[in-house]
Amino acid sequence: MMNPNLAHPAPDQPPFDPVHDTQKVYRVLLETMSRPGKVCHIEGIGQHLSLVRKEWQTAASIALTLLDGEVGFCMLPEEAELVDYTISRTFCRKVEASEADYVFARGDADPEFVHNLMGQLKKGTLLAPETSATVILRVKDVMECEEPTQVLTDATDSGLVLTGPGINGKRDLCVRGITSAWWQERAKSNAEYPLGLDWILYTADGKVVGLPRTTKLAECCKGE
Amino acid sequence: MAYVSVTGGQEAIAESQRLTQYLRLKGAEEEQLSVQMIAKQMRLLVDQVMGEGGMYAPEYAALALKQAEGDPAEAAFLIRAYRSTLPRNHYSCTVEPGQMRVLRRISSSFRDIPGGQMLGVTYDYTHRLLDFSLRNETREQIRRLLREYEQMIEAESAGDDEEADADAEADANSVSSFVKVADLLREQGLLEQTVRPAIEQKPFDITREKLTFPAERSARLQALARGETGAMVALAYSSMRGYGAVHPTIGELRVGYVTVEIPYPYGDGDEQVYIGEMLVTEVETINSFTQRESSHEVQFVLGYGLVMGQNEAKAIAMAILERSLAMGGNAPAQDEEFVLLHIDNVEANGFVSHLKLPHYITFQSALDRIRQARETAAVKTASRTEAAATMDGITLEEENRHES
Repeated sequence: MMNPNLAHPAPDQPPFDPVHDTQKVYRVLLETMSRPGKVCHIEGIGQHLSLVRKEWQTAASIALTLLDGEVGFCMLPEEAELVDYTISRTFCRKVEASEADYVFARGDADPEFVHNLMGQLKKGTLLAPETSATVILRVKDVMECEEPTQVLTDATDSGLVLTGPGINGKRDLCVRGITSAWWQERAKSNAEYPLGLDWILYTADGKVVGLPRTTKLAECCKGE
Repeated sequence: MAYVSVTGGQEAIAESQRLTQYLRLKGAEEEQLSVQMIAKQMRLLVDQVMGEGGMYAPEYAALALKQAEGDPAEAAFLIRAYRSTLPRNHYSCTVEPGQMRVLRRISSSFRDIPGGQMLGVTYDYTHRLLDFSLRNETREQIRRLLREYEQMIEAESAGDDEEADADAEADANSVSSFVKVADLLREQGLLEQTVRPAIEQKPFDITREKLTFPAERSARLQALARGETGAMVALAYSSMRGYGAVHPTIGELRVGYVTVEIPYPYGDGDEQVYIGEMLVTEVETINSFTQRESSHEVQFVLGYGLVMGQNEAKAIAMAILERSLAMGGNAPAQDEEFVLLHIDNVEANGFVSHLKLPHYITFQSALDRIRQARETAAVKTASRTEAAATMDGITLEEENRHES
């Protein structure tokens, strides 16, 4: 079932430790969630994984940290090998988007797909807002910078101003490789606090940024 | 909620921990209590800790007991804390205590039960005399006793082989699975028929969701199964003595190993994987009969108890409390919230023990209030005496007037 290349650790790296490595990733995720918009790194940990495709290391590190047999996840578009890898390591259930506790998706997805997906996700209930989904989104790059116009080159690049709990005043964040449909849908899904979705943005090279539902976003500029 | 953490006074705490370690180890230079020793020789205590900790792991329970210097409450807390860190990846298939590999099985309702009464492992039928000979138990004595017993078993099974080679199959069947006494009553229509639902219902899980009242039966059973032995026995006793109405007969008490299986993790069929067996105590009590609303038939009602390890008093108490809660009423043992919230070892211990934590502010405000109350009282008393004195003065004057 599994790609044999996935089953063995990379030769020059110690194998991924399901206890201590996931603890490290968890501490980082906790940091990103308590300081929304802060760019943190987990690339060193992902290298312990035995994945052939390096761009999956961050997603797989997050998956191995957050998922277990108690929760359901979905990956859209589905990367069959990564899904198999995740299931075999975590015993997590693969479910429909509407039932998923963790949703893995890509920032460069087309707007129609985004509207459709975000409409289905669990936003929690007033009695149990924690039953909402967490969106784990792969983007091209994230950086904290005050001069976004210099970095933004593409129409899928956004310069954002973040405010809310965990942010002293405001924080500037540039995200590259994300369609603006995501931002529209995020605003829509988080309109009725405490209902809403928590987001984790990650890049293939191990940068992670948390955007909990309490964080307010304003798109200040876009790339050309 | 359980009280867990405290900060501040770190140096003092560190020193206190060093002293505790010192006392734990003092006198243990020559002979240390090994975890294996506790697991094997403190079997019933280990069973109790596993049950109250809610995790079946004899060796870990033994380790917790060693760490806690034998305090069952502290050990159960350690086990609960540890279990909360474990990934939960699989749920077992329904366990069938009817298929139990029985170590002990009795009924106090019927003398002649199919398969017979099997006293098995128990201290029930012994004199409660302190056995001073245990102080000088030698290795040779122990070995001899064990060997004698094992030889006897071997001799007997060898004899059985010769005698009953022909009906070995029937023999094996009668030994491996005893018919349940409750099922016999069901056959005769004296107990309500239980129907296995078409779709297995997922039980409520009190370790994942907050227990709310009225609780589902599965939540009640789970809370009772990991309740504290002493507290449960006390409450069940209260019900039997008259604060409540449950005084059952034990239809059946069985202690033995049940097999635990999980659905095959990578398949979606009906395949199951055997992961091990666990020792449990199961009790079914027969209670007074009632008329069923559905059938208008008069039938006995059952009380059910199932606990980890061998813990018979707790299993019986569980069966009594389960019935008592299902019946309802005004007695403490019939009040769901009263029973389920107060039998939890960790919660009860945590809340009582939290009184040891600094309550300086709480107490300061109590001091403020008592001083204020005293001041107010003093002012009032003063003004009252003054008033009384004036009154006395008036009376005196009046009296003087009368006299004159």
